[in-house]
Amino acid sequence: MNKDRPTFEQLCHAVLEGSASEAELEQFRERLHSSAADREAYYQQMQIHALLIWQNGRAAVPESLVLAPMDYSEKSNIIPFPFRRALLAAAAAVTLLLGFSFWLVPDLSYRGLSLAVQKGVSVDILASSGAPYQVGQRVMLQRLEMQTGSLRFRVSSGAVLDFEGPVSLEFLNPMRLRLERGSINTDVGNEAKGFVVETPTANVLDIGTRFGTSVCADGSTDIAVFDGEVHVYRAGLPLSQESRLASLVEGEAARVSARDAKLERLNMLTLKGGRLQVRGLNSPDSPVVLNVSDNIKQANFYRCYTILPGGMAEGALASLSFKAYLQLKWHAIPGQPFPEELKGADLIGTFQSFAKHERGETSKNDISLDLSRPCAVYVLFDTQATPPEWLQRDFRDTGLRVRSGPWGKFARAVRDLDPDANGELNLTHSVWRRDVLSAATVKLGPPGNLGTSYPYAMYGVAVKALE
Amino acid sequence: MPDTSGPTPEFVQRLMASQSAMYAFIVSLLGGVNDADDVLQETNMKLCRRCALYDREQPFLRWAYTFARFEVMAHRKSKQRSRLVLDDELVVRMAGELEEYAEKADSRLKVLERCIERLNPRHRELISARYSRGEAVRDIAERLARPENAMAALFYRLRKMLADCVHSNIGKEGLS
Repeated sequence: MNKDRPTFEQLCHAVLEGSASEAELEQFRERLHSSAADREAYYQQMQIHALLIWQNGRAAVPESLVLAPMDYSEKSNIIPFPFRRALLAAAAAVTLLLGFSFWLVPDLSYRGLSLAVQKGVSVDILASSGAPYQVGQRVMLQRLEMQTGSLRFRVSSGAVLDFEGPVSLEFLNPMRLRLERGSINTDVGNEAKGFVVETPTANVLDIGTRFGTSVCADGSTDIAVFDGEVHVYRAGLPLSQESRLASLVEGEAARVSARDAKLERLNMLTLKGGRLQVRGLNSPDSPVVLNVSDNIKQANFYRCYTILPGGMAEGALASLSFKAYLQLKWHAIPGQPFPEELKGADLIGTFQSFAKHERGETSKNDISLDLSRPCAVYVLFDTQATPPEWLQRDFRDTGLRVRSGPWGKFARAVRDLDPDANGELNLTHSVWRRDVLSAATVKLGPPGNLGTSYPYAMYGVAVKALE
Repeated sequence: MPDTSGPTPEFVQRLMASQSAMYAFIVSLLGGVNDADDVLQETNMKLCRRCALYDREQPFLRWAYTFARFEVMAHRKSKQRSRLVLDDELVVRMAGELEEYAEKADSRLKVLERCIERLNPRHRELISARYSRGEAVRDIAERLARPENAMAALFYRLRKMLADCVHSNIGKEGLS
């Protein structure tokens, strides 16, 4: 094997990142001249690098090669999509050929066919399922109505939107859209700070984050923050200190009601698959868990429980509590399979601040689960801690074990832990089970016994219908 | 002499379908993404002007690559005083070698999307951080408290894995 390969990797990295010095470029060229294997490696690296950039819409494709979107409504006088798209693209190419821009020519007659200017904002399609766009396309969007299917695209401002039908939205400009119905996930990255989502009851100003917004059937707006921070304002007013209802940070969720436009904590949020995303309005709810709530009465408290219906599995999301790049997940114990008994359970994400102790004592908080049918409730308990009385009384230890991680090194729960072979901090949890034989509300108590200091991890919860 | 009849819808469809592959070709010959969009635009214009020369029985991408190669060379001349990653000899040699990869290159983007889905979540998140959110590798390394060299090596391996996946699945119906 070529011992110099790491050096070529480093040179390649410097070239791809645009940080290579003159000396490094000289070495790089020498390698490419002398080695077919290095050229082959370079092709692989650069081609994938370029395709990833293209796929994510960072390549600045000429505006004149923008395609027009398909009309969603079926109208008899509309040219079928593939042909229509080709014609519009042809018009773009003709525009290039003639050397002047579309906007100077409202209607361009080309071979007897009329082609209209497309309004809206330019978006790059990143993913599409059941939607009339192809990955890699650039289209102009102003208004979008989708009943089914899913779509992910990058707006020219840099914001990435991800959603599934039904959704009804309108772009006001590349930094502002109006969501009339449905759920969207927004990732503004570093480029589109200041992106605003308007809804009938709120304006959500994104100041560098990922968040989900849903406009429910009654017109209320749900907002969940997955990373960073958003400001929530009253609808219909300028964004100002006076109209601001709250600032929400990662792991928090709130609802602005249609009835009185007041902001309230959203206790529970059903997520889409295993990803940090709000789901579409028509996505199935948990068949077992109707509601999750707690007894925390605290002003400006917006922490949220999450539910992944049927989502318990290796790598399932355990909590919204950490930055996206340090997402806490459930894992099997090394060398063992993930417990079969837990697989496919509805997974309830809890949050660490629930376990926060005050004045040296464990919190008195409890969690209520409203359950619609006979089921097994599982509590995944940090094995560093002593199981509290309510857990020992109502549940039995199944003997199964799972891990949560990776934890940040500054988390109190892992302060006595050594990193594993991968340099990560993971906690072991014992799996406790309680069978609930009919529809009921089940209370889960605080994670530690009263009067004890509690520097351990908050427990996780899973629920599975009994056969 | 420029063609005055204009590109047909079929021609434009082929052109649009080839954009990502042409972009990757141009980036490879430039040694980076700087100015690649300008070169792609120039190439598109030349292709439209010369559309009458295209033989529809021939692979479109190979024909388009030839124009792209000339545009890269022209661009290099206009940038003679700027720092260039590759030299002329390398560009010519590599363009010839890359043209051998033209077959089915226009479907690589779709296959790549599926290959990304097959990465483990941690690797997918890294790809997303670098390419979707546009973070520099150095910043990602700093954020994750990892040495930059180790992170650069990891990205190298990830791109290699994706390239291998695309190569072995191109032309297949789908990935399981």
